[in-house]
Amino acid sequence: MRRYETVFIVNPSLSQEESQPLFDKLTDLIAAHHGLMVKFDDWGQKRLAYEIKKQTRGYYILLDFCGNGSLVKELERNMRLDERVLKYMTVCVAKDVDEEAIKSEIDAAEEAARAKASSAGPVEDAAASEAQEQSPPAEALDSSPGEAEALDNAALSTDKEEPTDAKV
Amino acid sequence: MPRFKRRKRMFRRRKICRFCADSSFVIDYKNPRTLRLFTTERGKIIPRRISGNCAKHQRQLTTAIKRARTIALMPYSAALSHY
Repeated sequence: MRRYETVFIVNPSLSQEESQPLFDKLTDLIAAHHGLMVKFDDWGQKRLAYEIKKQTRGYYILLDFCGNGSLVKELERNMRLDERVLKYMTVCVAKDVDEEAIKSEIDAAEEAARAKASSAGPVEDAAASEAQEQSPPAEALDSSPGEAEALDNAALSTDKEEPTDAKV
Repeated sequence: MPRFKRRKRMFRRRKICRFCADSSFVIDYKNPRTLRLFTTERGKIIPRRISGNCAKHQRQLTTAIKRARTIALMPYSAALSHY
């Protein structure tokens, strides 16, 4: 088994309901070809360095998975045929991977995520969801990566402040 | 080279490969922010003789920049802003 990383760019004008079937289709495809999904990473909307199919922005997704060459072939064929995908790129990260090691890695990542979620109290959860509700319009407006970083920092600082308030 | 004969000698700082000096500074095609340091504003890759990278890291950097270009994280060629 080999480990691959596929980055693909989806048309940013698609809504969540329109793009979700595509993501499900691709993840199902990995499972159907005896592949192992390691990570589905959603980068969100980004400005493209150059126009692709008349689009200046794109919705980036990173698929981290293990599988064989036939799986990559099938995955790329599907993306090539799909109108919603603007561009894709697959990179081979490791040529020979141990399935057990990858599985334990996935478990560790899941556990870390769960520990993070459980450590945050219900009050903080509410604050986090509030922050999420506020952030999407701001993200849609910004144009440069520098601004996005500033926004991220702002979001972080508010996250830090709110728990202390709750304690007081 | 006879140094004393050249009156106007350029000040030369010893260049060190930044990736060798700092192991936390990793080359990754998914991180265009660090890759951008090694391209000109036009988007060209800065040669090793100027950036001072070692051969190994320059090679890795080149593939990373080229990968970043294929998925539109970095430009193949950028127009200058004041044009």
